[in-house]
Amino acid sequence: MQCRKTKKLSPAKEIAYIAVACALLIGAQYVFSFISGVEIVTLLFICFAYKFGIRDGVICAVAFSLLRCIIFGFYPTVIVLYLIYYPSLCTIFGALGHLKKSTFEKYPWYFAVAVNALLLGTAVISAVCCGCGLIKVSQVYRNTVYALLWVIFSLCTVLCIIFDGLLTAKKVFKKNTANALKIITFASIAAVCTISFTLLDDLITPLFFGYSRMTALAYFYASFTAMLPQTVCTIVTISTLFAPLNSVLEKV
Amino acid sequence: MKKKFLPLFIAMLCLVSLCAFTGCNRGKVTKTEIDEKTCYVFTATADNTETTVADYLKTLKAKGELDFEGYDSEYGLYITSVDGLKEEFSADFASGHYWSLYLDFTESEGVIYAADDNVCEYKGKIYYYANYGFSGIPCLDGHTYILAYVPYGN
Repeated sequence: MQCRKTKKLSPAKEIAYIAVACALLIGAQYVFSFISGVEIVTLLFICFAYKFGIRDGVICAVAFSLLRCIIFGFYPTVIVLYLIYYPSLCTIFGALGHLKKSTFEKYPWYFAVAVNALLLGTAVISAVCCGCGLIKVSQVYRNTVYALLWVIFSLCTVLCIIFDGLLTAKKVFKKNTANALKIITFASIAAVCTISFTLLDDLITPLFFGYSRMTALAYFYASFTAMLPQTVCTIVTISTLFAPLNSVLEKV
Repeated sequence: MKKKFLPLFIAMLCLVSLCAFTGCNRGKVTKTEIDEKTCYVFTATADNTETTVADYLKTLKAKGELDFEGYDSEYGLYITSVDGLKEEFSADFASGHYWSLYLDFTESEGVIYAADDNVCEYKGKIYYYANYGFSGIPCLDGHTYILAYVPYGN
């Protein structure tokens, strides 16, 4: 039984890698904090957890969640949110890193169904929200929000078409499309995780501050101005940068 | 005797009228204190073609009815001072003051513009703390808005 995992690291190396990853994450978050909606923390976490496993990913996530407070300040809701979300993200992708290499080469049908469901579900929800005007935000944000919803719809639709095309090429024409299928799979899972991050915040912050129902609803709608660009950023960065970053980490 | 008193009476009448029209009430904007906080109250009128409170405030400034300083950020107009009363910014948001907006409505066309858990009362009417900045709140005809100088954590 062949496992994808690399050889076991010494404790000293493990600590060093986690520390370097943590420093990279904090630096990357700081650099892009001036650009609204752009972040590569998700990408870096996914690559790190995929390569080094669940344990190292979770330790890095906890360390990052606490250390970033030195630069960005101590906000209880943010700390709680990060301590729940990023270890969960690392757990998911650390577990995906444990999959055998042959899994993506064979690509089981339930994986294909799940990825199609994620991509099409996201596309449909985006289209419905935009078409029916379900996101009630101030006019100053309305055009941006609706434009981003259409972008997400387009990206997810295109990815779904490419994914099914690659799957067909693999199953019917016996082409080796494992890497491309893996990237699209990870991009779709990461997009859903990014959406879950904002929804988690929409749950934690109102509960923590004791918002009324109306305030919580307003907070939920306003969160779309952050959620949508982050989702677009995640889809684009994972689709384009996961493979090169992963190949760099493979040499470590 | 009566002839001497008449010009004096007219002069006093003019002086009283002048005092009645100057002072705190500058046309559409009323300066007042609510809960010991400096506030400017104004009501949007039907002839406004502006769409947001920021646009209306800029119009008031152009007409000389309100004097404020601010800048346009990515979230729209940010007011730093009104009539020389400047915001006191602290990085930890634990102290200092800033200029906020209160509305007499909470939602319009399905959009929730203000919170019902942060309110103030003025002349028997409830005003709600705005969820958006000045550029995100629509200027609705007949509705009253309060520009309030409040402490952080208010």
